[in-house]
Amino acid sequence: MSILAECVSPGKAPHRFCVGFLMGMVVASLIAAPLIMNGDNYYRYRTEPVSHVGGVSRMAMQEESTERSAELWSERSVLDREPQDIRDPASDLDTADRHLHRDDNTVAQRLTEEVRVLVWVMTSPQTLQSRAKMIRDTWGKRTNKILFFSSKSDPDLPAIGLNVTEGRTHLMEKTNRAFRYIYDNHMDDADWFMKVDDDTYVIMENLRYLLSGENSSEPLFLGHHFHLRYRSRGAGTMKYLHYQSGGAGYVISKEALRRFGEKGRDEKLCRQTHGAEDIGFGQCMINLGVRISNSTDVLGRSRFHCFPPGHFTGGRYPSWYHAYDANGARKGVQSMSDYAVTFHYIRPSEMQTLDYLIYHLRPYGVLHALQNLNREHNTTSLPAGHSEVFAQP
Amino acid sequence: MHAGHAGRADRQRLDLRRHQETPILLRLVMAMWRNALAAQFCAGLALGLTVSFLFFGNNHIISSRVGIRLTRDYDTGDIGHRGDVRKMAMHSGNDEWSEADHEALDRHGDGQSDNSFLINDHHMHEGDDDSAARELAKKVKVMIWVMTSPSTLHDRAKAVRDTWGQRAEQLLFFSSAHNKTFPTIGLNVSEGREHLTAKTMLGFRYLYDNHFDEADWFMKVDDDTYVIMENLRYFLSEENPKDPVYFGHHFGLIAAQGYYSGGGGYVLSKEALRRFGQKGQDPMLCKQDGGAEDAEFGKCMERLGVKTVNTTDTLGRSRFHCFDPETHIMGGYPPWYYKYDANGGKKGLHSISDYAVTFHYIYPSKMKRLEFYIYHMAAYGVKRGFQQLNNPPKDRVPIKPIYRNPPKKT
Repeated sequence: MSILAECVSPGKAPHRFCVGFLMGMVVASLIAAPLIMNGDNYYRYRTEPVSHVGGVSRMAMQEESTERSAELWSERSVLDREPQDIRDPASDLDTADRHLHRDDNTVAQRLTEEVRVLVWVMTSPQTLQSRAKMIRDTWGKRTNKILFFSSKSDPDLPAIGLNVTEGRTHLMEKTNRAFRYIYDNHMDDADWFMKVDDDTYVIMENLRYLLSGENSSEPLFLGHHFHLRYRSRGAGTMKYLHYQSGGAGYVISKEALRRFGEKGRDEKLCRQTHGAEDIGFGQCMINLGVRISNSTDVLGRSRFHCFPPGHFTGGRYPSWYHAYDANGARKGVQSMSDYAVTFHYIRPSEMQTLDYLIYHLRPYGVLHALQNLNREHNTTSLPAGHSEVFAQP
Repeated sequence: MHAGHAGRADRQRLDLRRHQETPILLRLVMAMWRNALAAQFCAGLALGLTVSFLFFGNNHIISSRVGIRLTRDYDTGDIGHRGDVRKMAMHSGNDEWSEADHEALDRHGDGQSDNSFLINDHHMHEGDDDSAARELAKKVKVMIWVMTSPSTLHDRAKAVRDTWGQRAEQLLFFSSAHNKTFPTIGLNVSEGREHLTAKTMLGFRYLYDNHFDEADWFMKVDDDTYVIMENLRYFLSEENPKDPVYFGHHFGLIAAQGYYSGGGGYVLSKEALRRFGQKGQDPMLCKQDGGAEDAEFGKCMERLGVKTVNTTDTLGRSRFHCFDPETHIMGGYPPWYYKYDANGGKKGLHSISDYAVTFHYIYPSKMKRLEFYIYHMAAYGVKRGFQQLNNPPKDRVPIKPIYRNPPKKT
């Protein structure tokens, strides 16, 4: 008890210790509380950056913060701290058994020629060696054309340097510059232009199948559709902010890129720097009159995915996802399309495993027929309840 | 004056002695404590943080940090679970497994919100042509028994039954307890790792006594083994059930001809089961309980003249696997694996056959995903052909296990 007395009276050693101890406990609870509250659904993902919607308010929209969990810790920085677990990735990846496959690739080949997609990967000097290289050696081989953008150029990968500072606050700038570079230099190389992160896995054949049902001369924008509710200033009604998840990858048509190239420098239409790149770019597209096309298949199953497959089969999402996903945050094995296009948060080792599971492992004697999973093309292709797509510029 | 000096000298000597008694480190700490304000504060802060984290329990927080470094599985819902898998995998088939390891395993099996395994999109798959697979199913008769237990019945055995079990024509579940609704057959054995050998012996005996005429091949798997049935039948289609032979993931130790990993599953020919049925109860030939079930069964098979063979495909790629796909692709093997694997401990995308038959350590959530990848997910426009990957018996190159004896401890 005398110790307690000493704790309370200032100026003594035990007092300082006690103060430190209490502060330590307070700090720890602040850190741990969000984790506890989410209990078993504890995720290390960054929340969709509602905080960055503040940037959008410059475009005369006032957001209301929706329910969201605290940012637990940045997934990106966690992955960056991982040890190198790849041993000689390039040499291990040549699967010399393609000649034995006896696969009939004619339909996939035809689509490769008819539906040209240029994919650009957002990477960084820190993640270039592990992640970007793995992309190049796995699904990157199946693209028509793939470009890697980083803050500094790297002749070995090769990566194009965008002359921006690294870091999450500069992602908007990076995205704008990358698309501008593509508009200036590669406009004619493809009909569709896709942005992905360096931890996104893309099944190119299924991407082309999806796009084969769309017209690239229309202003279109496809991906994992997110919407954000906010209260619009003045009107006082609830509205939706629409965009595509950046990590899941999104595709724009040639017409959309043309509009971006011509008018994308207008600060009133497109945020140039700062803020979440996916929200910013999404709003830019909408302000330029680009339409979001429903990327789910005819059974309503998702094709673009902002998480790895396990989250969808298990149906375990962070709480914010239910508010953001425009397709109703469906759960279970039935929520993903057979012709899924992208998955996010895929580590380099997992990319190789996915390559094996999708392109090599197969059950003997079962020949899958081509399924007609594309939707009927129509103009009102948004999920029900979303009439607000365009903001008034 | 003299006295004073002497007194001081004495005191100094006394001090010296006292100083020599307490260790330097302790002295340093005590000095810091007395003098440095910051030190006291920081000590308190550090202790407070530690105590709080421990208090908030959450193996999640701590093990998830550990889990991050080891791996992040596809579904990060199972944070740290792979850490446990690797810990498990540190034991060879021969070591005694600790209850704690299996506890860890079971704990991370699924607190999942969606329990359905079935994908109801059959109407979209009507154009599929599985006639070749169905032909094989008529020709190649395999009876499979799944070793399960009352504690893992409702998550893992259920996952087996609802995923690949749907494609098995003859599937039985054996446990220590009878269960009419599931259903499981109760073997007269206690639960626990030390009785797995008895379970295995009794399981095969049950098959011999009750189902010998119903199949040509008899396979044992665990309830966390995933079997690709079509590839199993394809493999067996060019083998002869009258040969005294059995197949699985080949480990080159313990028995002179090696044995097969229990988790990777192993298949006995009819002749092998017959020999087991007739002579397997002799404790001189087959240990009835104790030890590692796969190793003991392997010795038993060897003494009955049943042979191990090379189960790789024409490109030397493995078909039966004691780990999950990612471990084999990335080569995240525990050190013992390199000594045990009779095929050289290969890793990488090109070391696994396209017609792989089994994978192990596949928990219910992973089973769902494998179902999706193998039977649903497809790359549009790629029509798969039939590959000739079998090594018929007459063409098979026998492999000598690389290590015939465990390496001597120096």
